[in-house]
Amino acid sequence: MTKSEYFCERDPKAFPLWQKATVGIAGAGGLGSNIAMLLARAGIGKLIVSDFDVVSVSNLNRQAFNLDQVGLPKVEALAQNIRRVNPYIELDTYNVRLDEENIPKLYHSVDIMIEAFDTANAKAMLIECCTRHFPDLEIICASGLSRLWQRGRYPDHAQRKSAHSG
Amino acid sequence: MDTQITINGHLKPWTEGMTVQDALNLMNYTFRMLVVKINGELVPRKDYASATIPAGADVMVIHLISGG
Repeated sequence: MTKSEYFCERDPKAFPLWQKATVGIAGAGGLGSNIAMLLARAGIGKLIVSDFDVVSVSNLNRQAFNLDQVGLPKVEALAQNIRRVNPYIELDTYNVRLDEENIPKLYHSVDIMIEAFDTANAKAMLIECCTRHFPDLEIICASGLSRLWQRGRYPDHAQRKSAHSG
Repeated sequence: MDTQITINGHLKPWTEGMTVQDALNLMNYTFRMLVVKINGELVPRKDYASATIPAGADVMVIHLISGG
């Protein structure tokens, strides 16, 4: 199948723009793996994805990995799965823990940055780092769905707790 | 003369020399992981006690909840 055969019946206005776009994704967990998969399906030209973790069984209720990929680095498993859907996407994957040193090096070329980290600390680090190095970069942030039953994770609950303990 | 600021869309009284930390106290924002922007400019966490808010400013405080 040729590339033009693969990308048939795409939006004539949006698709050419998406093909030119590079999207950075920080984290390949519940948010990042699914975002990457959907953007690959949509026809984004290039994705840059980083994650330090490996696939575990507990990820499989929400992350875009398969049972036979347990133990693989998440970015490696994700690249396999994305390429099975869209062989024409350009993919840069990094099996690293992102920090203030490597984020500017790995993500300097992105048009949009997507924060898909787990911990609030890492989210704040990424936002501060990107804002400092790339002041005009659009950053999309989200909070994920892992372990939602742990009520202490909600801000209103944390505020009530600190108000009472104070 | 502006004597108010906007914090997450709410009009609040402004005072001369008001810092980011004052604004967080005013709003009772005690969540430990926040991102603060004044008129679109990020304020680093270490500057909350020293960064002052100009009159009429639009202050955005984003609560970062864990979960990936």
